[in-house]
Amino acid sequence: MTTFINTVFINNPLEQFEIKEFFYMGGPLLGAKFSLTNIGLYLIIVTILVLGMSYLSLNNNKVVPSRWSIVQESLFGSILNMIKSTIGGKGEAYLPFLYTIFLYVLLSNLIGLVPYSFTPSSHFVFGIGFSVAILIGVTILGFQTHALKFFGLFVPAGTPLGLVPVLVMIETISYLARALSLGLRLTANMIGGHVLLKIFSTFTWKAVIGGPILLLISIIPFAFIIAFTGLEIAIAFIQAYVFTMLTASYLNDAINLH
Amino acid sequence: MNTIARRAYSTARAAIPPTIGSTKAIGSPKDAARMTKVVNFYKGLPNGPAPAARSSGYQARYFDGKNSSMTPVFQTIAAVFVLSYTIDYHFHLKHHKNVAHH
Repeated sequence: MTTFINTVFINNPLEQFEIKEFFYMGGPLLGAKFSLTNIGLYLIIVTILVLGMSYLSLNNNKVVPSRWSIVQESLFGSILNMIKSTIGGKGEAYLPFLYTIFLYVLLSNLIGLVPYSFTPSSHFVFGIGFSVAILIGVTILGFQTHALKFFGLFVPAGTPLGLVPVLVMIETISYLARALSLGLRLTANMIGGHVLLKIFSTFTWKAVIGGPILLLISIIPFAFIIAFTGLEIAIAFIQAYVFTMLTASYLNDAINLH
Repeated sequence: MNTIARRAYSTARAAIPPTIGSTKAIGSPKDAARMTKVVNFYKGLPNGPAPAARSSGYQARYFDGKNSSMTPVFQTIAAVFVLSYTIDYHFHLKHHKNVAHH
């Protein structure tokens, strides 16, 4: 029976996303409960890594950079260039914000690729939490900069008067949908990639323990796993960049009104 | 002007020779005083190649100057792996030690 289960039973590939509670402090204080879960732990690790990397690659403030400072400078440079091309000169004030978001999302994506670890960005609370906060911030910024003229964002230029009510509704919905779509894109990509890797590795493992012929054949799915891992690393970078770029384009809407 | 910029400016002034309008003015007491300052400034500068920073610690070993290497990346991956395996073992894997799945 054990052998049968071993060969046929497949672990749930979504098991890796399970939230586990390490400890919690419950108290009479308003019924509040403070707990450390695995997502919390990994987010703390990511924060330490982001801060540590930025601090350690300072290279004693020398003008000639070390390899680590070159890494930091080129990341910084590419984010700065992206901001200049999407928002323009005014957007440079938001460089620290976007740079932090990029590094944080990137390392959250990458830390999940270490075997047995947990991907913080594969949870909707991470992606959508970020995107809702960004949308609220961007809306506040828009009203602060343009006051009531900010509503001009919902009426594209040159719209016939009859179409205005319909278009305003559509534009409002599409504006609010950003709160969901920005986070959903990141999270869905992360979940998809990790589930794929898990399913592939489960099948490969079953083939490896399934007998000499299957062991030989298992080289093919094993090669696929390696290729997919490479793809996942690329996706981690791409998604972090896309997340930052879309945040920049939402900022552009608020600052320049299209 | 902040402190650092002001300091840099005053240091620069000590290093710049005085502007002399006419040849007669060379050697006037005011300019002579300033020239002494300039000469002293350049005399005071350290000679030869810059001494290598004698620092120790994690940052100096893996991050600074020519020592910068990929080692911290591998160390991070190893550390995260060990931590994650420990967590996974505690919450999940130890239940499968004797039974395949339940």
